[in-house]
Amino acid sequence: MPDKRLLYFTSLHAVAYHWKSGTLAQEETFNIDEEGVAAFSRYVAAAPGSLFTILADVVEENFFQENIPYVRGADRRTLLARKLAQRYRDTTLALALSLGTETGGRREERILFSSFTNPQQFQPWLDALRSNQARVAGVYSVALMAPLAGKRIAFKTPRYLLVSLQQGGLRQSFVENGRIRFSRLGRIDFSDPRAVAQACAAESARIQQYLTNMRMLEREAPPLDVIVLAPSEYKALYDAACVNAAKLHFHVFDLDRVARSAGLKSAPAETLAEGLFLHLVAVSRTGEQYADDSLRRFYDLWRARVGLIAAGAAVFALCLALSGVKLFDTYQVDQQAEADRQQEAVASRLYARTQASFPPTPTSTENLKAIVKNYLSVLRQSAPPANMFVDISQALANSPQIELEKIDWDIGTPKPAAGGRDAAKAPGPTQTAEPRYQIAEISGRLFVPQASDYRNITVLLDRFVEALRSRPGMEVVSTRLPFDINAEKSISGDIGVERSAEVPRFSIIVSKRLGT
Amino acid sequence: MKIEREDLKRLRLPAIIAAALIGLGVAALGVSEYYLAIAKAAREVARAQRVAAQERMSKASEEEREIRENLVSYRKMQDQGMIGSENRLDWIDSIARIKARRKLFEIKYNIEAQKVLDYPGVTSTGATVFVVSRMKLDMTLLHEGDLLDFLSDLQGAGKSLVSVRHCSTARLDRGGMTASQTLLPRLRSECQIDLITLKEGKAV
Repeated sequence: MPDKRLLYFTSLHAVAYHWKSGTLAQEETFNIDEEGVAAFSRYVAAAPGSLFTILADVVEENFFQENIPYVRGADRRTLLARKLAQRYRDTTLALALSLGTETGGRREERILFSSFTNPQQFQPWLDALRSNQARVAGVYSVALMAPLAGKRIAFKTPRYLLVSLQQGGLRQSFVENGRIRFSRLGRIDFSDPRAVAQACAAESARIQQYLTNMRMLEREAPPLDVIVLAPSEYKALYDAACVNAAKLHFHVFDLDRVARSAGLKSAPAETLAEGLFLHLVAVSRTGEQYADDSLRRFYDLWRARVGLIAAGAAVFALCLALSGVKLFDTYQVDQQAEADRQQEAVASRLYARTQASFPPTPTSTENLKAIVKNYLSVLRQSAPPANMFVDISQALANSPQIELEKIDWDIGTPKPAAGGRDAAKAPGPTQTAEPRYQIAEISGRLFVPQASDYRNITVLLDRFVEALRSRPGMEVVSTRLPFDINAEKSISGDIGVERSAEVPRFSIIVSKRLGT
Repeated sequence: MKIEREDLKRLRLPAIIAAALIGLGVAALGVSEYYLAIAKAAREVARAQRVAAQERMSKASEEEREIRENLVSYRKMQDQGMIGSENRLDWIDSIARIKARRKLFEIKYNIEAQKVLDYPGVTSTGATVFVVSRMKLDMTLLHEGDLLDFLSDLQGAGKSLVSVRHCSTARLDRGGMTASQTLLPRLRSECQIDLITLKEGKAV
């Protein structure tokens, strides 16, 4: 943080202070003349990195309250600038403070216009700052800092008069709702502390009367609270002099105690209340001050530079913090992975130990498994014909009129014979699946007295078919008779002839699921 | 606060510093994210390996049982003579021996060139391959029992797995046959038999 240098400016002289961490140190005193300005310029030039703040404590400070229409944005800025220009000839050190809006009637904003009525007295000093490209944080007045002092005292009353004694004189500041409304600086003879204390009381009564006449206070208003910042060594004098009256209610505070409670650790011995106000200027961030943008140019530039670097540093710090979190996560993830690897190693060792007790295999376990899987698949698709031959033989045992001529046996999937009598019962073919059936086409002939005795032939064949079906797992896929008894075709015969040379032939396709 | 154009020059260095700081921060973030992603990937691999090892361990007894069962099947394959290269001379000798022992009639055979077994569901394992030599038999029989005995004996010879795919057995024409000629063949059978073996190495 750069050094803070504060210039307490009065009509008699200007005193430069160095402020750091609540410690106020006087550096130089300048007369209000050309020599003083030149010395001040050298002083500023010698402190290029410092932040300069001016605290003015002069008589020529004016306050004027006026209501303006309620507008916002650029219109408001234009209106306020025009009002200031109407009110003051030189507005280089002028200020418009909002006191709030009127609640009844037209909506208007109450504005307190304030300026130094003789800003020319500041110009040489401000020029010295400009020429040295000094970072001017602001131009304040003791009056503007009065509400802050009231806050530090934690005084809750909405209206009060703050009476303080500075090198510049006796300052009376009327504060309403936390805002300065009026302030007056009176010259005073510091040689008699008792007279000063009595002047505090007397001037307070006078200004109460003035405020009432100016209608800033109602006539029937309760007694005005008066905060008196009394030098510690003379507090008793102030207590004695400041006696409550019908319109005034005095509160005498020990200036040193107030300053300490505000955070001022030390100040030069000869400093009066200006020490407290200088400290408040140094620590407060109030924007209510008189300097315009041109005067604050190098201060604003410095703030922009600091802001840029601070923003970059903040983002960098945030990224670093997030990176730290992620690196910690990485560490934890690595720990988990390491734990997994250790558990995997333990399990693998145990498995290897267990595997050592496995029976030796002629090839790898996986290969053996695949070989056996294929072998079992081959077995499922294989069967000797003996089983089916036995079934056919058993079925034939009770049909002596039937003589077999041919058996075509296959491993595969049965296909229903077109037009076969039992075609509907055939299992459906599958091309890619394992063949699950052994199939036999049985061809034979029938020895019957009359080849045209269709009923007898049908009965004999039906009996044979039923015998085949009765065998375990056997299915009759189709049957082809020696004749076609389908109603859609013709049929003929020779009833009455004893024996015909014609021998009726038939064909039956049977299937049996493998493994049955 | 107003910043004039000429003041921008004065802000160039702080802006560069700020940009550099932000860049460094983002880079640090990116690097840490990169390492975290690598660590997470490694953890997933380690976790998968740990789970696999633990599952393998938990299934060890089941695997042992499966190996023992597979070995039973494998030994059965060995007993059937399936393991190793086929020996066609042995097959021919076996056929001759069966014919002589069973006093069978004529047996004609034709063994085709060996090829990879193409049964549905049989897949190549890479290290070993099932191969098949397709044999066509043409036999004359006294009765169908001769065929069944022959096939049973051929399987029992233990030279390969005998998988009968087709058999067509028909009655021979008996025209002119007398009762004294009962020892002549009465049936004719044409069969297709797959002689399956397990061969090491690449497919034929």
